[in-house]
Amino acid sequence: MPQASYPYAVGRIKVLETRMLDKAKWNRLKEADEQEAFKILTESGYGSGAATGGNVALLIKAELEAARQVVLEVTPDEEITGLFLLRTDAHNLKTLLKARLLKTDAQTILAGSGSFSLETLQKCVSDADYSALPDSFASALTQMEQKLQKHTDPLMLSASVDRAVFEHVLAVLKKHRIKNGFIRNYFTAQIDFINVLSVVRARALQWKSEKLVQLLIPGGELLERDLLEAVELPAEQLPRKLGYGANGRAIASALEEYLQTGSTQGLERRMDSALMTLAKENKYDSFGMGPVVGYLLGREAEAKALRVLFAAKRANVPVALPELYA
Amino acid sequence: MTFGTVIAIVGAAIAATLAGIGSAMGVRLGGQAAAGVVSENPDLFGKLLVLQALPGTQGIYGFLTAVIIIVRMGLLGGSAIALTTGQGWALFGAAMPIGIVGLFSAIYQGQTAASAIHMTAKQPDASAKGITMCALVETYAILALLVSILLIFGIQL
Repeated sequence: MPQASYPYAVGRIKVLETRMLDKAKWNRLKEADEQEAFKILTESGYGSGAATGGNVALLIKAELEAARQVVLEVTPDEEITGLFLLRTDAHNLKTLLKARLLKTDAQTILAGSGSFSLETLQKCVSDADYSALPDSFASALTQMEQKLQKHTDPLMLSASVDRAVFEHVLAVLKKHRIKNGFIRNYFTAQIDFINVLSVVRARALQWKSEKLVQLLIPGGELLERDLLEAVELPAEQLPRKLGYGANGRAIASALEEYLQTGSTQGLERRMDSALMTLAKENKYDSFGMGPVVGYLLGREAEAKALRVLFAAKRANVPVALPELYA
Repeated sequence: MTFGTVIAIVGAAIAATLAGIGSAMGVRLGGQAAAGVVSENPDLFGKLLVLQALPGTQGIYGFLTAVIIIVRMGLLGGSAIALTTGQGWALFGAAMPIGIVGLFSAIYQGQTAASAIHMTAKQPDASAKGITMCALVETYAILALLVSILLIFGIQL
């Protein structure tokens, strides 16, 4: 049941933060072999005692699920907190839609519940009826279904789901009159990075701006005009054209890295880093949503880092210290 | 009962009420933060109790000021002094520093206490530092109490 008090919620979260992966624990896990690392994790309470049969993926999934449940239990504003879980819903929706189109079973690659239950999303996708979801979300997804009937494009499908997610986010922020502060800045930064990624992908696919415009998400700091013009520009002008706004420096550096390496991984990494920095800046707010949401994002980053660590152990390759929240 | 006596009684009542409200709000903030922490780590209860209780002192200061005014007026002994309107207003004014400062400082101290409780949740050994941080807010409530007491005893009845 949601608690109506920020001090209470932050109090619980502060204790839970002490159980998160920190630099010392990371180094212990890094030096241990796979079995030993799994043991260290379970002995430290990671996975909330879930029966995983020695499967690290299940352990990570169980811990993430527990973190989401705690956050939803303590948050004074379930609707706003739910926005930060939409990334999971977007993953599940994309997976379910692709599975429906390919007529395959997606059960094994679905993430846990996000803002909406898995059962609800499964029913929505199988019936192509999104009326069980909030209006702003449902209308964008219904439009996507209409497009899908005419033409199936995996990139467009993925972009349409992202667009639906952010249309819902913006509608909720408008409803709560959130015009600035941590929550607004977080989603603005996310939208800017996703739009820059779309520009980079559109350039690689040699798309024209008429096609790119369908991928762009409104609500960011970067102007749509600049994003569309960036598709036609010489590559070396990209960092200057799009490197402005609150995250301008990070975007410009990521684009310079992209020009040198040709990989979008740098952009994705810098997006995660910028979002983590925003969360960390609000970590010590005793009377706001920052620590609650930060804990959730921190757990998600931790899960990602652990997946990479265990994969690196299996492949016997070195792994660098990730950016941790704790 | 003279009009001056009524004014002085209102002053005493306001001092106790405002400071009491401030303390209740401050202790509530600390209590909510402490409840959150204790629900995950019950071992910290003892350390957090002190931090939660700190914003409660303003209520005591307000109560103390009200009692001193009541005693000076002779209300408890049954032989109340017939205060002039001027004396009544003077006692009313003397009660205000702790009433007003008590109200706000207790709320701010409660916010500091909640933050200190959150700090203690992460670093249990830092609770003494949290107490010091809260005590700094207390300074201004003590100064206001001193002003109120000096004024009450300085008024010629």
